[in-house]
Amino acid sequence: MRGKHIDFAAWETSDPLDAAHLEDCAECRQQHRLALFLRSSAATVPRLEPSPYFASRVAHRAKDQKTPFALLLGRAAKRLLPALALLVMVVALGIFITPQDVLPAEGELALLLVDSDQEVDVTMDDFILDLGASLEEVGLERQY
Amino acid sequence: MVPTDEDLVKAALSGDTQSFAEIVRRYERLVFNIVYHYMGSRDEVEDQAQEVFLKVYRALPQYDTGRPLKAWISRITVNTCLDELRRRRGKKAMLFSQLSNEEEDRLDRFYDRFEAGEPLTEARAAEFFDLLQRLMSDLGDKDRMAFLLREIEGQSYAEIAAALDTSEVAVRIRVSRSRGKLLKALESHLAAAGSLK
Repeated sequence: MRGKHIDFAAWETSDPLDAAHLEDCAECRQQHRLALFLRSSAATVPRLEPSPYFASRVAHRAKDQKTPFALLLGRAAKRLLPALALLVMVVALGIFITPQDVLPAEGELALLLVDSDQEVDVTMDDFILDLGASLEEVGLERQY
Repeated sequence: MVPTDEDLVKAALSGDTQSFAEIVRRYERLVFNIVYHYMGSRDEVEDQAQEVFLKVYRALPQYDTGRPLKAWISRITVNTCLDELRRRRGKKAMLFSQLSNEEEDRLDRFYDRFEAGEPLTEARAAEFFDLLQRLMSDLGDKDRMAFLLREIEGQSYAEIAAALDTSEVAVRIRVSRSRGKLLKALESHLAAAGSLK
């Protein structure tokens, strides 16, 4: 009931109705007829029947794609790509930049940074979140 | 013995396209009708349904076999429809829910036939669906989806909750809100046409 009337928006056709109230209340009788009209008409709207060849056509198109397992591997590889690139850069820097290559001015700058209270404000969580957003931007699909 | 959904998913995952075709056959009516009733146009149903099943295929490795396949496929269908509608918004004028006098008269005749106990013929059901589409265009995207899954597809609240990735209580609220708005719209149009006092 909603106030003194039956709430036909929340009413399910399987719910019992207060027959005495319906008998007395013209507004609820009218709402009841409207609710039945809406429900019965909605239930009879046309339904479509797929073509008998639809399933084989879709399966054929799916076959042209990689297998789900290959897709999974591909997706994992794509996710690891930025980390791999970073690793290669770090290794390359380690090989080609030796301590004597660092200019005095850079060394001083490094000391200044170490002495200052400035903190690095990019945490691993931020990095992972940014990475996730970037992957979505390049079109990786929603996870189901 | 008829293979279970789980058997078919496992076989499809190992590359058996016939098993994937069988999954499509089992759920194609469900997908076709959700797309048709939500998008409202027959012309684009097949393309959208194909898009849904290709997404299903690509997402199969993520499917949790402990959960019903029907709910999972419904969810992908629902998200595809909602995304498509969002994509189109702004590009194309949406339906306007206000009915013309001629449409109000048609609605009035439908109501009279209902009161007289006349069943809807197939042609009239299609005509009524056009009117219902117009009335539903005032509902929010997810409210409209919840309403059609409940009243047109006949799904349970639990199934709709799984498809919309929400709680049953939230679905009941969406369905009830949709019905309330549609009842009000029907009342106002039928009163204007003279069917209701």
